[in-house]
Amino acid sequence: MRKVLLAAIVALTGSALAQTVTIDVLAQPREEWTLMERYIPEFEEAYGVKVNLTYLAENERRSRSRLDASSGAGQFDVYYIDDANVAEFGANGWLVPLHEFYPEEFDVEGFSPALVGLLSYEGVAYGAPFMTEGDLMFYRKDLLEERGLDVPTTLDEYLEVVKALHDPPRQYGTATRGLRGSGMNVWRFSPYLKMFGGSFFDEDGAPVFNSPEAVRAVEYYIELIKHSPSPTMSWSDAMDAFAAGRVGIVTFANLKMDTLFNPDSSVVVDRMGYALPPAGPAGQISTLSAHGLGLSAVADMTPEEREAAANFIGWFTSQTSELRKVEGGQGLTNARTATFESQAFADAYPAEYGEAMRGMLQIQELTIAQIPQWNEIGDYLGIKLEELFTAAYANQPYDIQAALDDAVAFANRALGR
Amino acid sequence: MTKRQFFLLFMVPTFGCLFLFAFYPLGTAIYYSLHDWDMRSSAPMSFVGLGNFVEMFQDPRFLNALKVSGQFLALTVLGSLALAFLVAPLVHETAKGWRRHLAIFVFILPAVLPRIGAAYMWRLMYDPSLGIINYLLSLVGLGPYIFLQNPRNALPSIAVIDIWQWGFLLTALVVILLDEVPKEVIEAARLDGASALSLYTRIMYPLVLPLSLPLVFIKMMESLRSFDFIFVLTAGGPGIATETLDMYAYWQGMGSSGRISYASAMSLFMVVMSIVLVTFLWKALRRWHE
Repeated sequence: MRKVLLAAIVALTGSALAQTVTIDVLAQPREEWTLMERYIPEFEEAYGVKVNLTYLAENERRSRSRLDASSGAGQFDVYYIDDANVAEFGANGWLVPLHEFYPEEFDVEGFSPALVGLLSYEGVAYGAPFMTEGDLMFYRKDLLEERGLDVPTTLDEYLEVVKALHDPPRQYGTATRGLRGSGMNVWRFSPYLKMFGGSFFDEDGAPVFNSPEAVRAVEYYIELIKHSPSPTMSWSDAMDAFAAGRVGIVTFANLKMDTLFNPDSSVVVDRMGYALPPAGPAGQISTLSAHGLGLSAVADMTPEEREAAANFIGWFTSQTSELRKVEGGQGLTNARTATFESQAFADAYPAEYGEAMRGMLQIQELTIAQIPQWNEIGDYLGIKLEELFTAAYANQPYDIQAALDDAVAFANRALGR
Repeated sequence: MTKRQFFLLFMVPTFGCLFLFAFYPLGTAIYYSLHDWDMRSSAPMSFVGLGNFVEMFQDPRFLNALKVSGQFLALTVLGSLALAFLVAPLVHETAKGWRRHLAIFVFILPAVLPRIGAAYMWRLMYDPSLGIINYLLSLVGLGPYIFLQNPRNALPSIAVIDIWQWGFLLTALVVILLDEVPKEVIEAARLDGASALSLYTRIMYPLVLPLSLPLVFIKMMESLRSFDFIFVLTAGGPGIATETLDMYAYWQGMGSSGRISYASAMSLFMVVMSIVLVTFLWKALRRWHE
């Protein structure tokens, strides 16, 4: 009896001692994180680690991680990073390169190379990707059939359909993001800029988003805004409006599809179709985005804590975790090639959707600039776009060329040109 | 316990907190405002003197924020006062006894709501397609109107919410103050044939106004720090139509630019402006009392 007690005490203190390693992880509230939180105790037990999660919404998460790293506070051992801020983190040496810490047992080679490339700065990978997103077009099959409309394949046809389905306030033609921000309206606008033949910067890195092509792209985008329920929608506003059946056709990132597939949150489950985004004069383009986890080079970690943080990143982005996400209804945002080709994925989603998804992977490209000043420049352009959108929506005068010239002048100052 | 011990026991924690949360941040803000700390770069910061302050006054967005802050202050303070001094006499004249208590209770309710909660509620009510305001307007054949998403309507729409919260609170307080006016004064005026209008403009308001000045004072301070409130409603948008000074300082420092030094300079400017404003009011208040 005494021996048993002793063993129990030893085991208890042993596990208590092993539990003393604590890691702090900065994360962004997303459905797959909620899902994965269920499995974190499993990780904690297996590795003898305590995981502290701090959730912050996208914009706040970016500014908080920047403050944490640049001030040297180093509260977080693991940063949540994305394609828009990896340049800033990489340029300042705030992250440990991926290949220096990623545990072998979790297979760093299994990630889609494009996504690892996206979470890199000057050729060095920093982030372990766990999700990607791209654009798909979602439309209401029933409404298109009712009016005898074909599924649009070009931007001109798309706008015609939007106008035909517009019957406010009961029904809006489309819903597109207008809310300002480098990762908000500017992000959504970025493929249109490219599809009209424009770009943010030229080969020498000079800002050129006040070109005639850019003006045409903004003109087109304003037409979409005018047929939306509001000129300052966020991505979730747009998604909710479509799920509520108030919108005819939309083009947005595919990552919240799980909400649309769920009859509890969507009245359009059986009435929606999916296709590739319509093509513009200069091609058919989808945004390319990746979110990932990076190991802090700022935090003051003991070797045990560093190992624990690396293991957490490995475990969170492992093949096992990805398949769990597929089984848990969060299978659209994975980052490993093997997951998209798995039987579990084929079983979980309609064939039509899988096809659209594979087509999307072919037309995805980086539509923003990966430079440390991107957030600042993008946020400023976002303000200018929001001013144009809201003025147009309220039938007030606006000047696209002047607004873009102003944003380009700001970009030149921010770049020190 | 000696007097000295007693003094230390109570004053040290108080001054400790004050130092930690007021003087120390203020000191660091002054220090940063004279340097060029930029969070995006790991370069060591250098001394730039008054460079940040010079830049501030050449920055159109800063000047816009200054204008927006001033407009918001004027709209909300004057609006709240106007509401209070228009509605309070009505209540004073018509509601007696429990009716008056009920009116005061109802007037205080909006102010009891947390600012953020009120902001979310109104954001929904203002929504162009789902909001109840546009729904009600549609019943009488009006609208839909765009409130927060229209650059021209956004600031007044936000001010309306602030006035709804604060104006009615002030109304309740003015009702209570009107009760304090001696009955003899009112009766004497009525006997002399004063109309209701002149009774209020010449007797009641002049008696009550000096007493309500501290309220104005508190309201001004409140209007100057409406960051949370505006952040929820528009985050400074559309564009920069509702971007106040504190909001712009936040965007520069934390939001997107990471220019801590520039943001510190703006915050310091706000502190100085507030002190000037408060001193000015304080002096005016004392003159009134004398």
